[in-house]
Amino acid sequence: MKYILLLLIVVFSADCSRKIQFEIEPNNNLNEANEISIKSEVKGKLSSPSDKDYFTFSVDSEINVKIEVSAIRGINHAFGVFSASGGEGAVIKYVDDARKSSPEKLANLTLSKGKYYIAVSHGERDEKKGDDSAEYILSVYPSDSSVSEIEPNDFFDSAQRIDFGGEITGYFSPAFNKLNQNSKGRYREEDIFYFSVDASEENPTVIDASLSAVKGINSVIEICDADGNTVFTADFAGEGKSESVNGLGLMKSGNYYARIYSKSMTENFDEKYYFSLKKGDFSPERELEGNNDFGNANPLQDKISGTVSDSKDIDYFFRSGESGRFYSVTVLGNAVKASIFDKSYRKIYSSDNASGLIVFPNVFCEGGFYVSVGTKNSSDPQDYTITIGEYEAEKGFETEPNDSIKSAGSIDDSVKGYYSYNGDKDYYKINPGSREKIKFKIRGIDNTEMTVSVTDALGYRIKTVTVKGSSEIEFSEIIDVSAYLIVEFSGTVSDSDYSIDMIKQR
Amino acid sequence: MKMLFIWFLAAAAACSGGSSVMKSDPVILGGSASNTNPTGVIGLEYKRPYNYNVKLVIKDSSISNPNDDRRCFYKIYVNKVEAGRSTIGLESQEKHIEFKLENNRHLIKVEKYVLNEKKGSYEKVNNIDQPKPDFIYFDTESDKILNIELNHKSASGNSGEFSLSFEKK
Repeated sequence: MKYILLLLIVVFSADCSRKIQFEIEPNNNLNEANEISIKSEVKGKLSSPSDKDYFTFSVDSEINVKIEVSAIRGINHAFGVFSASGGEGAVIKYVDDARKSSPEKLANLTLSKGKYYIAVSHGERDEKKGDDSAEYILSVYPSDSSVSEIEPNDFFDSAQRIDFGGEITGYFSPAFNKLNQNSKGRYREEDIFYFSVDASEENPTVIDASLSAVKGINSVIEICDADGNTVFTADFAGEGKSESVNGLGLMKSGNYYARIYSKSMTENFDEKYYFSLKKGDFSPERELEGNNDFGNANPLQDKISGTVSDSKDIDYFFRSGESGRFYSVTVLGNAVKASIFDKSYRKIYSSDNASGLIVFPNVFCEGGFYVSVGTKNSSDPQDYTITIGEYEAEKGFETEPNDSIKSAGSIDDSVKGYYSYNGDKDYYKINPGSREKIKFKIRGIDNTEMTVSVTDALGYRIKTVTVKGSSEIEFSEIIDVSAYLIVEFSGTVSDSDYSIDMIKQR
Repeated sequence: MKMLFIWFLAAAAACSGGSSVMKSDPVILGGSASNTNPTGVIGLEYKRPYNYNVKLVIKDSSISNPNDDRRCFYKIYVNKVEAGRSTIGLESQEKHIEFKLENNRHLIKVEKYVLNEKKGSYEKVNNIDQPKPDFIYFDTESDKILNIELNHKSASGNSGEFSLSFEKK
């Protein structure tokens, strides 16, 4: 009993110590603003649809503050922060989450020495209606002293500098920035940091950036050049997960910007993010990020390694090619998939071989070809290495793409081909010119089962034979002037070839 | 001399189209599954064999509806050995295949395949839909080309009507 009484005394005395002042009306313009101080709370009411309550406070030296206006039931309210020097026309921050019955919060605002105003008003959404019975509490407190972002840092001209090796802490707060009128990301709250780069095409600057996970936030890092053009977007992970830029190659000197935001315009008033920037080492055998489309493909010589961040990341490389030569492309990596495109961006091969090894044994592409690498639905980063082999083209080799009747390559008396990727089909056109009985001699591929079909002139199968492993089989079929051969595979993709020889019979 | 005159008259009648089974060209030599030896007709000049001495022609005269007229071919067995396939065409069209066979009695058996467009391949039709009979025995001659015509009437009980003739010049 004695302890209960003691506890009640402590509780009551604690409650009595929290004295909250009340707004003094009229405080409907800057000149009538109520004086408050940092580390204070004040109660107020939005009594009428046009009611606007002004408060003012002074700052002696630079400080980070957090400002909160508690919820008013059934009302969407907002607040703006102004400096005395700029007046109401120069709003520093305007906070409105466009929701009824929810508090308006600003986790971090950096204020230098001077006098400031806060105006609490109705928000822009919903019908404005006063409520003389419902109170809000405006609180202004110093924010976490470890926070290093300097709000407002919402635009390129107010971007905050970050150096290589540096780390900045900040908040995804508030939810919206009504001052952001950019068509791309209108009303989006963004934190923008800039850094300087000294680079050239021959000696690019490689950067790595990481943004820590924050609960409830699906974060995005956008890297923009000096003109504000986006050069890379890291939006790989989902809500509550970290985001990163790995090995982004920047080839022009100048300032670049890192734009950080919450993709779905959600906020977290309590949990900080950590954003860091590092300079990496350039190597011609290491991919430079920003190679996420054909236009930004990395040059590829004999070998290159890279990392795909997750299922949305696709890396592109371009290998120049000479006529009369063909190339083997090997992609080594777990859970990756790869494709080959010609210079017209037409997909020639595609493979997601589960064994960790993808082989495109015979790439013929006049002028060069593209290689793309992505993950097979993995949310974890996947490392890979691409190796190129170059060979002199021999007569009688298949030329991909030949995976349909339309793209079938003509053959005279023999052809060699490859099982290039899972699902590969090779079509050949036979055109003896008259009705001929032809003997086919077929040699298969180790660990692969091949089916070879002879069709009529329209491509309908007349006869199908199976070749197991590297065995050889022979069969005869009559060709009515023209026909197609269709070769299909199952088993292991291989860099060994198969052969088909045709001998006319009488 | 009298016998020679009678033989001459018989030959002239055959050449002038007097036979009820004879078409204008070539001479019909038989119409059963097992032909008779085509002897006793002279006075015509027959095409001599070069690349082949037997020609098999298959058609289906019972098809009159385009919806029922499928692409098909016939696989041919000569003396029980697969010897090739006919050309490909609609069932109503003539499909053919030629052979060079030694002078002897031979057996030809046919097997019909039709196109399954959904599967993109030709499939052997059920036995019940194969021509009946699906074979013929015949004799070849070293200096003539034997034409074997099979009219597979698929819409009329799948009857297979064979007729034989020598190819004329």
